[in-house]
Order: sequence, then C-alpha cells, then structure tokens
Amino acid sequence: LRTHPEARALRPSLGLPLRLLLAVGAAAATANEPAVFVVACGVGMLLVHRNLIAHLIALLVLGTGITLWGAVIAPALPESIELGATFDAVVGTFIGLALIRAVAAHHPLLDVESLRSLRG
Amino acid sequence: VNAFVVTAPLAAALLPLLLPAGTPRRCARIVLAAGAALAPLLLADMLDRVALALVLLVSLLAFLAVAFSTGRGFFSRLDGDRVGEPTAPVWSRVSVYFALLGAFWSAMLLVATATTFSGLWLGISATTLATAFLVAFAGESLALEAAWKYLILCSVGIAVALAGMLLLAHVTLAAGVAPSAALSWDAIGGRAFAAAPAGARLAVALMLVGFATKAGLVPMHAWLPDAHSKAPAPVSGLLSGVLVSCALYALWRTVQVATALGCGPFARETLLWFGAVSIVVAALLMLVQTDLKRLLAYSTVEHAGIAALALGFGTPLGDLAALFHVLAHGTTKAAAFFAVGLVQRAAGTTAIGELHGLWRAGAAGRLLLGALGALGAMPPFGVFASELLVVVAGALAGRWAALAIGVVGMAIAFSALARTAIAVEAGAAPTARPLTSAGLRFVSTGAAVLALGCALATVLLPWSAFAR
Repeated sequence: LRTHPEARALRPSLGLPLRLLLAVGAAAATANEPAVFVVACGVGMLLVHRNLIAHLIALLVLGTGITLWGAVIAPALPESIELGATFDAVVGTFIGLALIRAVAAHHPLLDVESLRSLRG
Repeated sequence: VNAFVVTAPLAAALLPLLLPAGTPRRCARIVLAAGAALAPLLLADMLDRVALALVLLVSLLAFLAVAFSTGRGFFSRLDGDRVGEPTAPVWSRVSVYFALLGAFWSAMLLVATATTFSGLWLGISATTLATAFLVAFAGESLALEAAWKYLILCSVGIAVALAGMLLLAHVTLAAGVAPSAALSWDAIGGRAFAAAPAGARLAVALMLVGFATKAGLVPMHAWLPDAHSKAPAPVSGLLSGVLVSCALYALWRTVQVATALGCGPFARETLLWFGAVSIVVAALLMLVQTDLKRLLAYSTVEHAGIAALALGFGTPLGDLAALFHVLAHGTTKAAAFFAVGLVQRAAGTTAIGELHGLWRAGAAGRLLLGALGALGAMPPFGVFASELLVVVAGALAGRWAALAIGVVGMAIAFSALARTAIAVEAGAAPTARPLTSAGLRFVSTGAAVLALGCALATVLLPWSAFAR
C-alpha cells in the first residue's frame, strides 16, 4: 500500500497537527477516565481515517476501551464477560483481515470510499 | 442440557464432513439438522414462553434453510457461481457454508436460551462473526462491500450495547445485586427500585441503540439492505426472519429491565419513535428499489419498526402484538426469500425490471406472489393479523401520533409490494427454463413456512383481546 502511487491521496480527513491537538484535548478532558480516552480514540479513528486497516484497528481500540471501562466501573463482574469480549475482538479481527485481503483484489488502495457502490 | 441444545446445530453441520461428498453427506446434513431442530424441546420446561417461541422459530427456520441449501444444484447457479473456482475465497466452499450456517444457528439459540445479558450479548456478537463470511459468500466485489459494512457497523453497535451492559452492571452492583446475577433480568426484575438509579437511563439508552443497530432500526439500518440482499437466499431468509427477531428480543428484554429500574417510560418512548420513523423511512425507500432482494430487505426494516412500535406502546397487548408480529414476519419473510431464491435460480436475476410473467412460469412465481401479499399484510396471512393487533394496541394505548405515522408507512409499503408483485407476476411467461424445474421440494419448503405463518394467525391470535 505504501508503494502504491495513489496511496498519498488516501490521507485522513483531518491533518496530523489537528489530530494531535484533538487527541491532547481529549486526553486532558478525560484525565480521570483513561478508558474513556481510549474509546474516544477508537471513535475518532473510525471517523477520520479512510483506510480499511485503520478502521479495523479503530474497532479493536474501541472494544478495548469499552472493556477497560467495564473493568473500572464494574470490577466485581465475572471474568467470563471480559473473556467473551476479548474472544469477540480476536475473531472479529481475523474475519476483518480476511475480508480486507479479499477486498484488496478488487480495490488495492483499501479506500473505504471505494466501498460505496451499494446505495439507496 | 442447555449447552447440548446450543451446540447441537454446529455439531450437526460438522459431523457430515466425515462422510464422503454427495448423497450420503447431503442426507446426513438433513437428518442431523432435523435432530438439532428437535433438541430445543428438551428446554420446554426451563424457558419462559417468549424465549421458547423464539427458540422454536430459530430451530424451524434454520432447519428449513439447511434443507433448502442442501437441495441438488443449489450451489451450481444460485448465489455462488464462483464456488469451487481456484480464485474464489476460502469461505466460498460448500463445506464452509454449512459449518458457518451451523455456527449461526447455534449463536441464535444462545441468544434465545440466555438468562442474562452477558449470554445474550455473546450470542448476538457471535451471530455477526458467523454470518460475515456468509454475506460475502459470493466473493464478488459487492458481496465483500456488504460484508465489510455489516462487520463494522454491527461490531460498533455491539460495542455500544456492551458499554450499556457494563454500565447496567455498575448500577445493579451498586444497588446490592450479587455479582453473578448483576446482569440477570430475573434478578433485576425481582428487586424493587424506588427511583431510577444514577446511570440507569444512560445504560438503557446505550443498550437500546446497540441492539437496535442489530435489529436494523432507522437510523442504524445502513448495513441491513446490503447484507440481506447480497447473502445467499436461505441466509437472507435467516438474517431477516430470525436474526432481526433475536435483536428485537434483546430490545424487549432491555425494556423489561428498564421498567424494573424505573426508566421504563423512557425506554418505551425511545422504541416507539425508533419504530415509527423506521416504518416510514423503509416504506419510502421500498418505493424506489429495483431489486427484489433489496426490496425484501427494506421490508425487514419496516417490519422491525412495526415490532418496535408495538413494544413502544407500553401495554401488555402491545407486547403481545410485537411478539406475534415477530413470529408472523419471521416465517413469512423466510418464505419470501426462499421464493426469490427459486426465481433467481431459474431466471438468473433478481432485477425487478427484468422479471415478468412469473405467475405463468410455475409454482415458485405463485409462491412469490403469496409471500409478497403476506408481507403487504393481506388477509388471511399472519402478518395481516399481527399488524391489525398492533393497530388495535396503539389505539387502546392512545398513542395516535406514532400510530398514524406507522399506518401511513404500512400503506406506502403495501403499495410498493403491490406494484412490484404486478410488475414481476403479470405479462407473458419468461422464455427461460420454467420455474417448476427448480424443484418442487424447494417450493414446498417455502410454502410450508408460509402456511405456518398463516396458521399462526388463527391459532395464536388472542381473539378475546378484541372482545375486550
């Protein structure tokens, strides 16, 4: 992907300085709730990035943040719930990677904008 | 017993792989699937009536989907032309298809037999994982696009529901519920909460949004028309007929818990407007569809909206109407997708503009007409009875504004289905091979489902409610 001539056009919808600024702002706003910061990072990645791999990582970050948040607010819960969430994230990641590999055969840039044929 | 019932479908899908391909494996698939469909009867005394009804719906329709898929020639032309080709993805294999179908069936049983939100959430989550490859089964670009949207949007929805569930646990633990029962709807319902605890409303809102995403309610419906229209026909039937029903069941359980926590009116009101908006938006989008499967997918959004609307009325009759509508719609929609599968197999297309004269072409065309009429709520089908019950429940509850919006949406949806039925059924018979050659076994499968939906109308409808 990095060597693809058109890959440079696949920039996130916000520039790096603005993204850093937003991340610092979110970190400051959630200083007492680090898990919420992780969730915000996941949501931000989903909204800003255009690459399918970035979206998959965003999903992992989002799931991790929510699981961490659960461990903080309800520590007495049985561990089976955390195990279930982890299992879901791991299997979901493998399925996502398999789909990305198949999508790459049709859309080598892995641009999420190329997956907009089904509409209406 | 519970573990046996839940894992039986997956085992029934995997065991036939030990047999040689061909007739022995096909026969084993049907026999073992029939056994897995009967296994839930062991739970008859352990589940409440709503869960039992969902278990039976899951088992019946999943078995029919397996039988439909096992039919000779199903994979040669229908939905999976690339099956067996070297360039096809690994999941476009018949053995993988049946294994995933078994996993999907097991996951739905996990939802229906759960007694806590953690089990229910795990089941809902597992359905997404099991069906992502089924949606992408054809392996072509549009199927992959549909599968990707399905995976991402549903995973986000499930994550939101998880956040709500964890917050709910925080609330119930703070109220003194034991950790092992913090997410049990029976345990929460058995406690008296004087006022809604802090955080309860946010927990309920997150769970409603998360599970509504899986149910395909507007505005979280974007994945549903794509996934349901690109999956193979039997899988589409299960996605629309049963998976959406499982998500609606999760919404109903959430409303139950919300009522116990003292924020029931908030949950009901949210569902009421989710439902009303879903009906109208889906009905308007049905008017502009040019593909039969996509039209049926939007019809699923509309019917999920009707069930949500009925739940939103907040009366026992509304809840009953919602349950009845879920059962009637599930059976009818599965029959509709089976019929479209037959049409697609014979005509090679599902484009409405390219289909005509299906009524004269054979039994599948007539089955499709019956299914479209049933989905449009024509008597004497089950959906007619359930929608009538929803309207009566809304009128008795005095929710006129939401009910009026819903009824307008139902009328628009009916006109979209009627227009499509006329377009594809009227005219000269197509010159392609007649639809009867698709196999009467498939037709009878779909017809049996449709007949069941119709029978539900007469057997299950609480006529005494009308008298009161």
